[in-house]
Amino acid sequence: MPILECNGLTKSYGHALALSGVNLAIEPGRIVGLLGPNGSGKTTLIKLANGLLTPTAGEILIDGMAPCKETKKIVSYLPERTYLSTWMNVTQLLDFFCDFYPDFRRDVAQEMLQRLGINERQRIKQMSKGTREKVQLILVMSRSARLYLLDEPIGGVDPATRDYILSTIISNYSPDAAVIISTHLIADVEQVLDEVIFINQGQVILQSSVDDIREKNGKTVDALFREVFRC
Amino acid sequence: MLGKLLKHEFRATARVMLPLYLVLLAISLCGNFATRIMEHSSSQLLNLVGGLTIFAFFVGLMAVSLMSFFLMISRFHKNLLTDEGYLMFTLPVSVHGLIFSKIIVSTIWFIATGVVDLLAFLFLFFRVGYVQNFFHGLARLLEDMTSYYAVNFTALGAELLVLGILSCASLCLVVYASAALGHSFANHKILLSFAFFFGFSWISQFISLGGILVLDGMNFNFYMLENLTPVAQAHVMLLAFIAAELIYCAIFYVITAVTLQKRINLE
Repeated sequence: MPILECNGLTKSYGHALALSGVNLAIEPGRIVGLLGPNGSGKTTLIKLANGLLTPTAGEILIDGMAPCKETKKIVSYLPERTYLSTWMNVTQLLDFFCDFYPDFRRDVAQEMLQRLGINERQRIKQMSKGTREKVQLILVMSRSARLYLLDEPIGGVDPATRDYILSTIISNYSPDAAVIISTHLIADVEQVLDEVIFINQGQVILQSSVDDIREKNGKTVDALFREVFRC
Repeated sequence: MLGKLLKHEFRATARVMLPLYLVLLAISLCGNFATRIMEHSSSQLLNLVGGLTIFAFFVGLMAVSLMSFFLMISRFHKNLLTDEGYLMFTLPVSVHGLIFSKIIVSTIWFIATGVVDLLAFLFLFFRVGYVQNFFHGLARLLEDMTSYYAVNFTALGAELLVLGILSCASLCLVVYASAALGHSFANHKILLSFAFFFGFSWISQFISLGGILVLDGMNFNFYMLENLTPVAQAHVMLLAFIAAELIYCAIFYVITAVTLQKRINLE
């Protein structure tokens, strides 16, 4: 059974159509790049999967269920914004995640924090933007979730941190879980992807494995993306 | 999960409210010393310091009360309607759990603020004689009322307590409903939240007054009440207020829950 499935998924904000009749299915064990230019509907799709928005038409299913309390137990979500309460310190955040997510692995999170030299007693408000993003990613990837939804996880960090984030993603997800990475920085993520979904103006225009793209088109994903989305 | 939400909500709010309570109680103790000094001193400087301390006490009293109100608003707004909402709404908890945790914690802080305000007054006016007289007088009043009117203070107290708790909850809910509706629009979220709050307040008053006028116009002479003793009348009135508050709470709870579930789009 697909871990994420969309059937005729449509979302509009007033008269503006953000997603239009999206059909797709993502199987467990895949790292999928959700790729598209700005405003193509990537974030809307991820918000719908998290139950932060409700579909205008069609359906979105997580492990066969519409987004609800049960699906939130198996989805680990990294939004493009920093959602951490700035008055909290890292220890308090670890307590918070331990309390609400039974699949949260505190020891894994602590090990990653230690490796990055992040002090658990430090408050979020005392951290730089990059460090906050790292803490957030560590919290999200320290869960043993079935589906990771990562919205622009490498958007605002330096290249060295990008490498660290990508290696964290690869090393922390289990084979029965799927990871969806939404980004427009394709060259950076291409190395870790099994599959890509090209999305433009609210519609899926391509879903293919990375190997197929390379074999059939003789191009990298980045080169194909530039060709498809040429301005 | 409600227990865990309550735990973290208390943790987030206690760090603001508890230090404020301590400061207020400390000022009230200083105020107590100041009044004693002012009684026995003719020094202008000491009287000035004493006067300023009493002034600080009243400022502190107002600040604590206002803070409990603003904290109720800011926790709902910041924790659910801004970036923090991305975490809170993706926790494996229901929207009802989120709303209830906010209402319960805010109501407890409102009640705690009332208790601390009272304690602060007692600290300020603490003279063994004054406090003894106050409690003695209160006991006499209750005794007299019990014997004269046959008032059941347990029932009356319970009704007043329920009414007080529901009033706090309804204040929270009208604010939450306004903020949720205001933030369901794409622009001018704060301005629209205020507009909804004033709109709801106006409509509530209009309906309350309108209801009384309609009953009056229907020659509803409150026959039932006229045949009752004053104490029974008080019970009936309190129960009617409780029922009205429950309806008020239910309406704004539904507005808040439905808006958060169906219409909110975090930026």
